Amino acid sequence: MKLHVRLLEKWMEIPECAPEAAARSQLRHTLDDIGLEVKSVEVTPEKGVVFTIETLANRGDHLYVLGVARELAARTLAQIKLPTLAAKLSDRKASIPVRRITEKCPRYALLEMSLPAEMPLRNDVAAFVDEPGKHPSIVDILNYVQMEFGQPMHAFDADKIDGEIIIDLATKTEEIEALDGKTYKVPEGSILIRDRKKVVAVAGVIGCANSMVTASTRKVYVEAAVFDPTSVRITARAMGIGTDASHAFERGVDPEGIHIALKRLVTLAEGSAGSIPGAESAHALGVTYLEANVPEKRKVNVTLNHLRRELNMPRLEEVEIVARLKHLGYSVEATTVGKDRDFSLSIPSWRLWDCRSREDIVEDVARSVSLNRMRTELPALDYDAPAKNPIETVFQRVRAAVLGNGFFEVITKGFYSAADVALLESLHRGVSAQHIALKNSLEQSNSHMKATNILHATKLLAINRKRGVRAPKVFEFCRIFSKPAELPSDEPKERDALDYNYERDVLCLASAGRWSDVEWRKGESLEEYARLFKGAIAAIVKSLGCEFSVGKSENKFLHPGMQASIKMGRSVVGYFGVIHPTIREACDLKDDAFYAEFDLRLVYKLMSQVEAPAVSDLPPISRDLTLKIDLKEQAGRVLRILNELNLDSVTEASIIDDFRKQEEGFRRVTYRVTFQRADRTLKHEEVDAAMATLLDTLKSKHSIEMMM
Amino acid sequence: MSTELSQAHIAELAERFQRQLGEIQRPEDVELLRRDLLGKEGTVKELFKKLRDVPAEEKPAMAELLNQLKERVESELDAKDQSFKTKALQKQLDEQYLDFSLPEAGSGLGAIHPVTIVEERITEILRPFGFENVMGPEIETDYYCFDSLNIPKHHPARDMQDTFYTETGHVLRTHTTSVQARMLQHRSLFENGKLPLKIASLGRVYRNETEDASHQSMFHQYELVWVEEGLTLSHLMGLITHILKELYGKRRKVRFVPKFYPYTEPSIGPQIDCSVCRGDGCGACGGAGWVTVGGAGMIHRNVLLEFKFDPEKVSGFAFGLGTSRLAGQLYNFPHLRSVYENDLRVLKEIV
Repeated sequence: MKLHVRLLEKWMEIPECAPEAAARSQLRHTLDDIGLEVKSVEVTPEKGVVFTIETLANRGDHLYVLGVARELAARTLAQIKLPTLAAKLSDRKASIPVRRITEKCPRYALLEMSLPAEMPLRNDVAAFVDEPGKHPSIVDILNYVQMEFGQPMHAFDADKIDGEIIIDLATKTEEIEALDGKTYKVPEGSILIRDRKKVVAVAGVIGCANSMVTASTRKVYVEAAVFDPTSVRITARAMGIGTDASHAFERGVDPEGIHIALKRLVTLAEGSAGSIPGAESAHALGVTYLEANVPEKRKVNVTLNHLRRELNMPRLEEVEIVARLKHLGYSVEATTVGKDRDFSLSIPSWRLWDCRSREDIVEDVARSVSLNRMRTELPALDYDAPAKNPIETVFQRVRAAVLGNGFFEVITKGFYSAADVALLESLHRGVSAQHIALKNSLEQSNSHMKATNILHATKLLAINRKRGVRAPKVFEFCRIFSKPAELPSDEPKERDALDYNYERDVLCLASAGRWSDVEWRKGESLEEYARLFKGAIAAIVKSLGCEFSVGKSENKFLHPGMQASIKMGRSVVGYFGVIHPTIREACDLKDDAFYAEFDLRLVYKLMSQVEAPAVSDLPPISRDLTLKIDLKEQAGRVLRILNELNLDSVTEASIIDDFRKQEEGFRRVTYRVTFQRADRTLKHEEVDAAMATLLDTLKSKHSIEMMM
Repeated sequence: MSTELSQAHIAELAERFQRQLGEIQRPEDVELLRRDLLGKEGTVKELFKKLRDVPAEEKPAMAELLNQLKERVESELDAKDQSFKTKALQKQLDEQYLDFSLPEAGSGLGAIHPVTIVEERITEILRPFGFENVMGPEIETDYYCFDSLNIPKHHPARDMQDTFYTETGHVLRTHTTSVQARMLQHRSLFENGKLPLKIASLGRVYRNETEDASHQSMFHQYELVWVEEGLTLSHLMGLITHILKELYGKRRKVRFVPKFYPYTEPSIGPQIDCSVCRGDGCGACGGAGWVTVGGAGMIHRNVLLEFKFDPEKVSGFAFGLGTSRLAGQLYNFPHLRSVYENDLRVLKEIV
């Protein structure tokens, strides 16, 4: 809302606001402090200081000068001096009938008015309207009155109105040509103003070109009304239009303001004409009122002690409270109830739309007194700290593993484009059906919720490689979305942690380039890099207190031969591997890149407290054995078999070498098995016997042979 | 060598030892000479064997001479050996050099995102008050996002939050206040209305906006909610002041201006003095000298009633902070968009 300080000055004594220091003036500070936040300040020689104010969405009465003046007066306790109003409109009714068929128009007035051939704008009006003279003077005056009193009004050229005015609801979609020259479709159910043959205005939104006032208009019907806020809003939204009138009606106009606005209109119109000596005056010829279902006047009760307690101002005087409330327009009846004082407050007509409860009164008093006069108080401390949530808990546990391996946290968007979905569909048939589409996204890149984070991760690696980062390594705790075949119920129910209908929390890691950004020598081979990446995954799983191993994986978005599942204990909680070349190329990433994804719901269920292991200080004995492993066999599977044989005294098995001769169709993988007991030193003969059993088991049960 | 043991014999041996010691050039020759003299069949050992042939009255003196010789040989050989070792060490020290100015190897240390840093700081500030960080769905129903929060369909307040609608008939949450609604409902339905309710809900929120430097379709919020008997606006303002002073520093000024949010009443907007002009007014703060850092208020009675809490008996407050904006302010990102650029060159600077 544009607030002309010169206009406000005509109505009341205002705090200091010198044009040269308007931005830091007392007036600006006071406006901010009462909730009329000044967003910008404009100073011109013609108009003086004009503040652009961000008004509150529930306060229609803040959209005009009188409303602002009331709020200021409640703070400064200054008196408001209203401008001159015509003593009387007319005793006659308008010459055409007015019929109100819908209840969505609680009050309607039609003023019939004659206009002289010449009606220049008064200077005190012209000073405040935009582009004075562009429109017929009567239109400028109507706009000016709305600026002063908040009542939107509309003028029809009387000669273009056929027979009567009907306030009705559209029974079908209507197409109209509006005053702005554009054609709009007005939805069924909208409030329309018609004459006998045509629609002449969309109530509360905009008038039609067919009844527009022009310079040659000599008689007008001026409409001043109260329309249902919700109805106006629905219509304006459907038409895709927002006008000063619709803005005001959507927030609710003062039902008692119609008379005042019309009287002010007549005063200014007559005065304008009268500014030319001997010229004919504008005249009110007749006025017709209709009303029904006007919002009822309400009362709200609040006590002095309640106000003092809520504001934490035990010494706030009753006289001050009452004075401020009266300046805001409340009628106050105070009675004594025990040791307290009860205020019965009649809500002013312009607040019937938003003021309903005693909290509104607390707010009004706090606003007029100033929030910053209140004594603040810190609530009680509570050292019984609640448990951390699942994501916090997991993050805390894996933090050292992730950061220690050089990964940087990133935050990517929750959605991607239809082209991204098509790319994923090309690799995984049917996956597009699992995506959740957004119906109204303004950005093409935000058309679908992401079902995997691999695309964002790959794009991020690519862009950072282009920025010159040699070792981009990123991680993200994020949420991915998918649509189940059958849509679940939205009914409230008790849920487990991280249990949502359409969403899954995941931890993703991705990296490309080289492992270390600070190492300047030759980069790692793909195999070396894979082991480093796996090392980071293993560190994460181990920091969650679980045994780490890998299994087979068939993720369609990873390289089919270079991926594995992530296991915590025996359960698969995610996957990792080399990003599929199709995705890599689509994202313009030149290097091979790695990606891992943990399902955090599973991780949270499986994670456990790390317990201190049993430690032996007796000497261990190790034996190495080289086994024949197929080229596409996971050496880790055999390792898991070794670890799960549960042979007495075996404490650990590990892989210490992986070798392939060019001409051989298999690999030679060397494992080291360590034997140790906590109660006594083992003998070599015992270890030899155990190894014989181990080899026998491998051969007989798993067909794995030792290389000789 | 004579088969007899005499003082002259011992003196001659001592003289010969001194000569041989002086001729040693290599450290291994020290051990060779030690073996020749002090080994099992060494010269000195042999002389000790001959003591038995020495007359009894001469034997003590001769034994003492021999012992003196042995100690001298041992001592001087040790000294010679040590001198070689010292020289060798000095040579090694003189020759060896590592240039530690060359780049280090290894992964280096990663870092968490500025938004997470801010979230963790606020969580730490709130911990003594007993707030529990809770999570909620990002694909929400109209009910939790709007209707239950006193934002009926077609209310102008919905303009404040341009909403994404999904094909499943849901919305993307426009604020973390939806978690407040869910928690109030959960307490009401499944926990017999247990109070106090002290939660912090934080995370991603979505607005259907045309993106530019200052407008993002996804950003982060941090909201806290406290419902209990006896809470007042002054408690809310006290807690906000505490949080902001902890976050921005004790010297920063805090003030409150009236605001409107459909789910709170009264509603307030906490502001801090502008970090650029410190309250004098500048371009960064639109000349106001103050910057709004969030929204807050007493939970609206309609919201309490919706979840079966009696507003005549209990009250509550809520305070929401834009963590993305806060991160931008704390780390001097020029725009909101920069916070989500994920430029690792920048994030490394924050480690």
